Amino acid sequence: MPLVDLRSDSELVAAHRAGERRAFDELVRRHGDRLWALAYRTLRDPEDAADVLQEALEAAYRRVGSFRGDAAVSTWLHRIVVNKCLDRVRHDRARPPSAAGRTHRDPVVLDPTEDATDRLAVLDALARLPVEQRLAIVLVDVEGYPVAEAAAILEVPSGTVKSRCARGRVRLAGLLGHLRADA
Amino acid sequence: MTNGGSGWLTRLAEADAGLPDEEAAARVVAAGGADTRRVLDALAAVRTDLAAVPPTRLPASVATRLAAGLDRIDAGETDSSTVTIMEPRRRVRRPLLLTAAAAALVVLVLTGPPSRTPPTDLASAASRAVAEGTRDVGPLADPQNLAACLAAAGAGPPPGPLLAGRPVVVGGREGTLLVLGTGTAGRLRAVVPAAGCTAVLGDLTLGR
Repeated sequence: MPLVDLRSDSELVAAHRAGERRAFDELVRRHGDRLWALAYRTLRDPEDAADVLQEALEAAYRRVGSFRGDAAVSTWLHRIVVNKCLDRVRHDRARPPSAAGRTHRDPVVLDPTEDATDRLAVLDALARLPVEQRLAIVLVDVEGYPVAEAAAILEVPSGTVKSRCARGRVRLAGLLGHLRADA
Repeated sequence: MTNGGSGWLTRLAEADAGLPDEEAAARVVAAGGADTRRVLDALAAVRTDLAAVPPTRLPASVATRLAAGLDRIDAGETDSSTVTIMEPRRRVRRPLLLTAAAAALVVLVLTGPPSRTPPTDLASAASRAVAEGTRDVGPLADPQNLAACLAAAGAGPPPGPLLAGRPVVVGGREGTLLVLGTGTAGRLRAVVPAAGCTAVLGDLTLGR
């Protein structure tokens, strides 16, 4: 195994199909931080984000053999995380509070800088947006994806991403005090 | 809010985002007055706030869960497989699925002389072993043993000669820190096979 795996994502998928189990590990190492950021910034709760990321990557691991290559591997991985996030949010909406609770696990330990980050008002405000707007803003404005790439990940037209971002920014402008209702 | 309420705000925000198209958006923006400027400034401030959110990295605890989950899938597939394979399939536990930057934060404990050293991280432990010239790796000092151990652990062949090493404990599991040359100046590989060479407890490339 070379020190730095120079194979493309597609080549890693092919290697995985050929039985090289560490090929998928390399994909996780390559994209794990960004997939985690997407889940964590969208769901806000590190435990939920950890659960969703695990479900998504296990699903990807099981299905990577049937990946058809009609999108970039990274886009495909992001889509799975997005869909798991949507499932989680919709499930939580439908679930009565008394039914809340998850299987006990060791708590997710964030880097020390994350604790400070957690307190940022902007993330609290972000969490109050509808999840579709949140996802668009996390991808475009927080993580810096081009609109076209965000659209591919979210499987909507670019115009829809722009519209969701626009509406989300208006809401955030109010929540963050940049726009006052009485002004 | 003046100048038309939330509908006007939304249209302005959409124009700011380039909707319905760049030309029409520019016309909407240009036609606005002081209120328009104030809203556009507010939207720009929002984007600045969002862009200033610090990056987040996959936490080690989550990487551990991921590795364990994928190992469970492998174990299930192995158990149910009836296909004849070329070699007896060895159960390989994954090292942590961490990016290099995050892997540097994995805490490990140096063991052996000098004893009772405080917890540190893989990069620091490797640097220290090299600086001190420590080569306390037992039978792994033999290149053939070392290559066999890394292969058994699933770490692949050694990329270069053993430069330093020492016993360590990573996440409660005993292993041996091996600092290996790579053939590239300024680049080292620090890898920690578990005792018995059953798994890789840590794997990090250092330098450029």
